[in-house]
Amino acid sequence: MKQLHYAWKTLMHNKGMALTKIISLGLGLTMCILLFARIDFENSYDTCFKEHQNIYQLWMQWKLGGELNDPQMMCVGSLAGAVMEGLPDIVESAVTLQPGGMIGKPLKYGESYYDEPKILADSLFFSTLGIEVLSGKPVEDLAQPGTVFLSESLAKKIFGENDPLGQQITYNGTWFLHVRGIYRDIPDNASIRPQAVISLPTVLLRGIGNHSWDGGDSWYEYIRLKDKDVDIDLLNKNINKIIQQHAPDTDDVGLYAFVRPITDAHAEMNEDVRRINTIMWVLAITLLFIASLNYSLISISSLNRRAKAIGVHKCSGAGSGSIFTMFLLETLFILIGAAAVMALLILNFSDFIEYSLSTPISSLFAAGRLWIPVAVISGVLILGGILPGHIFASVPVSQVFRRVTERKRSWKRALLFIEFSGVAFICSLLCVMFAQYRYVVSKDKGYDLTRLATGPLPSVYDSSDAVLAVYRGLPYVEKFSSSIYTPLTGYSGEIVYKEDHGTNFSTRYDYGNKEYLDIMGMTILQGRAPEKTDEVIANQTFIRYMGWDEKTVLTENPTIIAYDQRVRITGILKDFTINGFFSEQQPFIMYYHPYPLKGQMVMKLKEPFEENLNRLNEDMAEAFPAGHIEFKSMERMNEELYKDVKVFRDMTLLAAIAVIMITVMGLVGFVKDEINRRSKEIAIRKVNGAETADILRLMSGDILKVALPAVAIGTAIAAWAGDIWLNIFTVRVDNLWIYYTLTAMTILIIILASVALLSWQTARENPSKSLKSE
Amino acid sequence: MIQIEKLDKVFRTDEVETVALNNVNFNVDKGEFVAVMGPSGCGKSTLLNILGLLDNPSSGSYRLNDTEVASLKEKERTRLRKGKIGFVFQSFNLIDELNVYENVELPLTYLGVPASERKRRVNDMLKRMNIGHRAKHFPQQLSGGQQQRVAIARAVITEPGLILADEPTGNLDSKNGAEVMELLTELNRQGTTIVMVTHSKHDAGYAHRVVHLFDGSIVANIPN
Repeated sequence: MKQLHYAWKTLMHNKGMALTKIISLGLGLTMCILLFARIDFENSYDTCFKEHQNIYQLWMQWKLGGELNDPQMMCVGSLAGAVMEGLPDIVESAVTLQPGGMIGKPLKYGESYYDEPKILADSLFFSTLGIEVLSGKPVEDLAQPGTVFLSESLAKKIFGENDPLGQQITYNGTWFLHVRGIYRDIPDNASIRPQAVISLPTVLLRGIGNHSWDGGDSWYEYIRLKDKDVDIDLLNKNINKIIQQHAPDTDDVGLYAFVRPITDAHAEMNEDVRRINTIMWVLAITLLFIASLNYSLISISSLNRRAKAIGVHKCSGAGSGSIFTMFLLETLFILIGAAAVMALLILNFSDFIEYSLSTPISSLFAAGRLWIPVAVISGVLILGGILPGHIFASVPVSQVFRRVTERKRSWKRALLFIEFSGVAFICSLLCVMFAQYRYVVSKDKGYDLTRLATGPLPSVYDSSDAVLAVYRGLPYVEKFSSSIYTPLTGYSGEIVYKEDHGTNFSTRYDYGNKEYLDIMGMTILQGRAPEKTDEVIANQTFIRYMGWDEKTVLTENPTIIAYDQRVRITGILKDFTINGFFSEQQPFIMYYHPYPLKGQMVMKLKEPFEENLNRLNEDMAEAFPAGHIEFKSMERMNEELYKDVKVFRDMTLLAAIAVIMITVMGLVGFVKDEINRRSKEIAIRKVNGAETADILRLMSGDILKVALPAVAIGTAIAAWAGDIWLNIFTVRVDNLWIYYTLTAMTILIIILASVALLSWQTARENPSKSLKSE
Repeated sequence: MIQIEKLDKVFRTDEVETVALNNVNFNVDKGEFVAVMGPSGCGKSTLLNILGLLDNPSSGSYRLNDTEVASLKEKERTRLRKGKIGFVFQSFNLIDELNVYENVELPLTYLGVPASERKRRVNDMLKRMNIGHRAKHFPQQLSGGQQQRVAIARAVITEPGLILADEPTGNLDSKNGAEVMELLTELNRQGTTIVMVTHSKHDAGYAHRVVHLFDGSIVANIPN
């Protein structure tokens, strides 16, 4: 393999060029592999469970008022158990579980709190999902109240090297929980990933939760089939027969269920995931092409310089195959260097990457995902190695002592075209993402979160008066109130009935009072806040759903029937967003509650906000040591709602940085080569009267012919991808065309400025110098 | 060794047709030293390219060692050229990234000569060319005369039967030029056939005969 030696020598002789190639490819590879790994990670959700093909999630659908509602993942509590009992030949195991809601507070051991994710589950949790239990007997123990199973890592965190089995911890310092088992940590790519599993009877025996056929649709339920080749349509029919035995259908209300593979849940829960995956896929492919083609561009640009060496090799007996092999080996060396750059980047910026991609690097590069870097590097080798290798190998040996670049210009222009298109695509997309993110975070939401903090109330054992006295004594608190929910975490729903008791629609609801609306900065458009328990204030959408005229309805003293009682509407609230700008505006009513403390607190703090928030949490810990009370900034909670948006925006930012750097390197190589190739022409033009500006115009004009259509096409693709992404939101930043136009113009200006800068010296050079060197 | 009959070479572009060689008839015997002279653009280099199997003629016959080679494909030309034809160029054409030793070794690697044999032959050749002490140097570190000696060493390392030299002294001063011509003469004395393109009457004087080209045709064939 003497070619190996020659390839290495060639690289070493042009270290600068080799370094440029290694860095540009390294950047491209890094981003490309990270993006592909992230896509694969998303697509692999819930495949980590043993024999996941046999695990199905139960979905439920309500019929209300004779009309079927949308399918939902939350089911009535008794469904899974009934399905297992009713279909023993098909269903091996079933589980009912509840993440968070009823057990939202942290675990406590000693004086330390542990706020890791946890679930309530019945005794078949581990067998149904195929999670390995390291110690304990879950089928027996999880059937008992006051039992908890801990993940290996949480057990180690709480108890260190001590044996956790038999130890006693508490749920937020209130209920006692005995540690009766340990299970292996569940991988990151799982929708259900608790660090602690609390036995279901722990809450049911306390009268918490509705585990029945009668409403209480707040449970996630899964079944494990004995055989993966089950007829799913038939299974669904049988499930609905079982439901009819327990909850018979009526004309007005009905309950239906069906199963879907557990692996569908992640994409369903996050509809955005699929959209974002599509765009990430386009980004990754663009980067792969740009990185590879840029490498080709730099390589082909060096043809003029390297033609002599190729010719000498050929004169010395090398065939086209040898030249081709030599170039492929050279590409391989470059790729090894680029892979090293990638490894360095990933190791040195691991925290930043994990934060930006919202995924641990260990998961992105898990053993089962190592095919991605191998495939991407192979792709670059094929795309970036074969084309220039072929061009180099096919240079006729009789021409190697002449100038050979002229006939290869079309290749370079095509490659440059693709690069410019890629830059325009990624940068335009990025620009729209920044604009949209800024827009949704700062847009008027119908409430004002400035200096607002929210947190739980102390445990029920503290009297309201005592708690109120503590709150009133806090000098940095401007005002406070409470409600059951917040618009950032979403609301529960209830059915609004027609006058004849037929179902009308489902509305979101909350309890609060005038102070609450005032603190939240919500606007009463007409009327007043409710002041009695049979009064509500409704938002504009609710009024519209009822078919009323917003301008006149209050004069008609309107009432509705909700929650089995007739209530009067006292005012109209300006619409406000619920759960961010991701879902359509929903109808909302707020009941009056007479108590100053109910649900959770909302406090308006004085400035400086951050300092006062810290003081508040310190004072809460001191005043209420029995429970873990942590107040959080509502502005930050609002930003958290858009975390996925921010993650995606940051990923695109990284891709844009990579692609800009790669393209600039390619552009520099291309322009330098062009200047070299046209130096005689430039000199002759100058001898014949051309001025510096004329030369700059000549060079820029040439590039502009490639850049203009390329940027236009890239921007059009960005508009398409941007539209897919923007579908996530119910509101969009206005005048998107301005962002696209400005980005396209900026890119063109940068390209032209780069060309002008690189051509400047040649344009001003004494022409005799170029002509002499010719 | 070389028999050329009615050889034409025409270069075509979309709009222009250039006749580089026109009905050339030309023979070179084994062991002969032939100089080719003529003004710029008369087709000297084109003829040399065809003789060296770097290019095919447009029409006519070219027999090299009794084998018709006029219409071979590049792959076949490469196979035939390998180890049998050596090239010496006016601008030396050494590979900048390889040192003297590696430049001279190059043709042997493509012939598949084992490493130990390569080492022996290259070292012998470098000594013979008086550049053994420069083995580790790179082309840019050598004088023009030294570079051309390296180029000649590379051309003859495979002991080819034919050396084609394209103005081998064109970039050298008279002293180095004379040394190069002495080297070529010595190689010819040892049995190597040489065809040399030159502008220099002085250099042409080293050859057994001089062929004059004009506008792509041979206009004179004069023995020295």
